[in-house]
Amino acid sequence: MKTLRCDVLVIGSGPGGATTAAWCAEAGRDVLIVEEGPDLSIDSAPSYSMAEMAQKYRNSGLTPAFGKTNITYIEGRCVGGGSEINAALYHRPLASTLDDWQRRYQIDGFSPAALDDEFDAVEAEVGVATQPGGPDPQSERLIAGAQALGWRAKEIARFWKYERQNDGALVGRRRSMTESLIPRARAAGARLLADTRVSALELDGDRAVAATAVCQSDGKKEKIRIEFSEVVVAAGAVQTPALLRRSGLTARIGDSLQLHPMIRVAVRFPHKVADPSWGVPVHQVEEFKPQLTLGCSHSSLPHIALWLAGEVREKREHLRRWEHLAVFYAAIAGSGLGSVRNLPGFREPLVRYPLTDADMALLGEGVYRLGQLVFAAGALEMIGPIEGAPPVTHPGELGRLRTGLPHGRINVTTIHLFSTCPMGEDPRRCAVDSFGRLHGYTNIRVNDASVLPASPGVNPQGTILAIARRNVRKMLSL
Amino acid sequence: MPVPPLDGDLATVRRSLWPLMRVIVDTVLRGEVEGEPDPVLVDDTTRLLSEKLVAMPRYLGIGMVGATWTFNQWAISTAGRPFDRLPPEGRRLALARWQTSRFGLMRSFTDFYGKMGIFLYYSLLEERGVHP
Ligand SMILES: Cc1cc2nc3c(=O)[nH]c(=O)nc-3n(C[C@H](O)[C@H](O)[C@H](O)COP(=O)(O)OP(=O)(O)OC[C@H]3O[C@@H](n4cnc5c(N)ncnc54)[C@H](O)[C@@H]3O)c2cc1C
Repeated sequence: MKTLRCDVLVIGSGPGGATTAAWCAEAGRDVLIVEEGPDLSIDSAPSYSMAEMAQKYRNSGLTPAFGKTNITYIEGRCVGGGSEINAALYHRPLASTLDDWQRRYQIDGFSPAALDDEFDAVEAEVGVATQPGGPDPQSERLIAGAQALGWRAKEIARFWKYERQNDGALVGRRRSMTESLIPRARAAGARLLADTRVSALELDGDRAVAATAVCQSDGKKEKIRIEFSEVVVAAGAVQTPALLRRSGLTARIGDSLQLHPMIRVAVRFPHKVADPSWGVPVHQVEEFKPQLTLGCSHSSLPHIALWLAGEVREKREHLRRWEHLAVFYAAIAGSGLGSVRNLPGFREPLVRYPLTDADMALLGEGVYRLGQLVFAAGALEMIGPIEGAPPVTHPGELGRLRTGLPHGRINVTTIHLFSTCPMGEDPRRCAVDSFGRLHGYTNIRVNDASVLPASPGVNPQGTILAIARRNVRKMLSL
Repeated sequence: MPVPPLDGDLATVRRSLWPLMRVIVDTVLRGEVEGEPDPVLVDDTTRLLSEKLVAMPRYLGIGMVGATWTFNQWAISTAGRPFDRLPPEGRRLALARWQTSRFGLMRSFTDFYGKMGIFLYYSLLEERGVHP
């Protein structure tokens, strides 16, 4: 077996891992980043295409969290992790959310004011921008509906950078990790091993001394042993607890998965609204945050076909004029606690998430509000979200959705998962301390979505980056 | 029927399942898309679906393989013949029965072939620059 050595081993190269690697390398530490997925450029496949799914999504995008209603979740599996496939929408969480986390989880040095500095720095270091020009046709509908109802709606800034070309055109590019922090880490000397999955950590008393990994390239598998002084696990909210548990570390790990359940519906308008050339729409309704977010999804023909519920004949009719359709979503801050467990003999962990009665009620409320929004924006009908139910053609019919979403008959998905190794000093709930070090261990840290104590109620990548920055700087005593 | 190149986990199972998967995909597409589905697109959709089967967590992949086989045999109890030997109308009815079943597992099975199959079919069309 080949042996590699480094000072700091970073497992995973998503927002948490990339931040950790960049700061450690720039502080002069010998860093090795190990990433299970391939090392691809941001342009290797069109966004939201099936090619992108095959290249960069874990399990090609088909992974359920089991419960009374299964929830399909999506994670990135490539250098840069989720940042390579996401919409890059950027939010700061509400100060009240951070206050609540500090109090309930007893997190030291976690005042909203101190975190403000981290968010400022993340915005400057990664790059955040709004879209030049007016909104896309789908967002126009969202804004019109919100205005008619007197709700607040706005454009959400993104991890994006716009540059003027020689011909005067403004061209935007996503500031994913392969476009921002990974090159920074590499420039400072960090090594990156892609296509390599860490199987487990080797423990010796209160320390981890090495990791075993399998590198898979050109159809060949090679076992590797990696020795290190410190290890930072940043494999994402599902794989981090799975890896720690495979290594025999189980205390409060993988017991408290939280997520943002999301329901999508297809909406038909009397005129064209879908224009995939705009990319993903970037406006959201702010009125009900952080419990409930309403927005629009990427609406290309395949995505519309995917979310179109109803009778086959009607579907065919709708798809004939697919540009009149658009996909909208309602996402909630879930209140359930899910779990991540390894199954003997299987590589992928079993993820469970119980949608609580409160979640079902909030999802119903979300669909109801979404219906109000789209009808106020001139929609002709809302198709879904209940499989087999007739479309809603009038706002007066929305009441049945508000109170009656049935388990098992709605498609629920999520792209935001966190809180499987919550941080803080409260020994009853927290797996890691206030700065991400595993309780009871001296050199094992977690620095990714797993440490968020609870749902941020907004798109989480900004919060993950800010907390990762704070925690790695503490580790380096900066 | 062309067999696509196979590799990776579940490859052997996938190879033996391919003809049956293709019949299911063909039935789904006949119901959902305009006119007669192009056989090349049916082949490609089936290939992509079978790749998904391999890519999904193994415990699910095995479940889906089992469900596909069960689905085929189930038709014997309702229509006297396995699904892949039924005439087109019989296939349509057998699929509809699972689509509207009260059992979540049966609906999940048809969701995989139905929703994913349709997504892949239209993705292929889009890739080829064809829009309905
Ligand atoms: C489709 C989609 C859209 C999204 N849109 C937004 C958005 O608009 N705004 C927003 O804020 N958030 C969004 N998110 C969520 C955001 O991308 C994630 O919250 C974020 O990427 C999580 O960062 P992370 O560092 O915790 O883990 P990840 O980004 O998941 O990275 C973890 C990495 O670790 C690797 N890994 C896992 N296990 C191992 C192992 N054993 N060995 C080696 N490597 C391993 C994985 O392959 C992965 O690359 C979206 C997510 C998705 C999937």
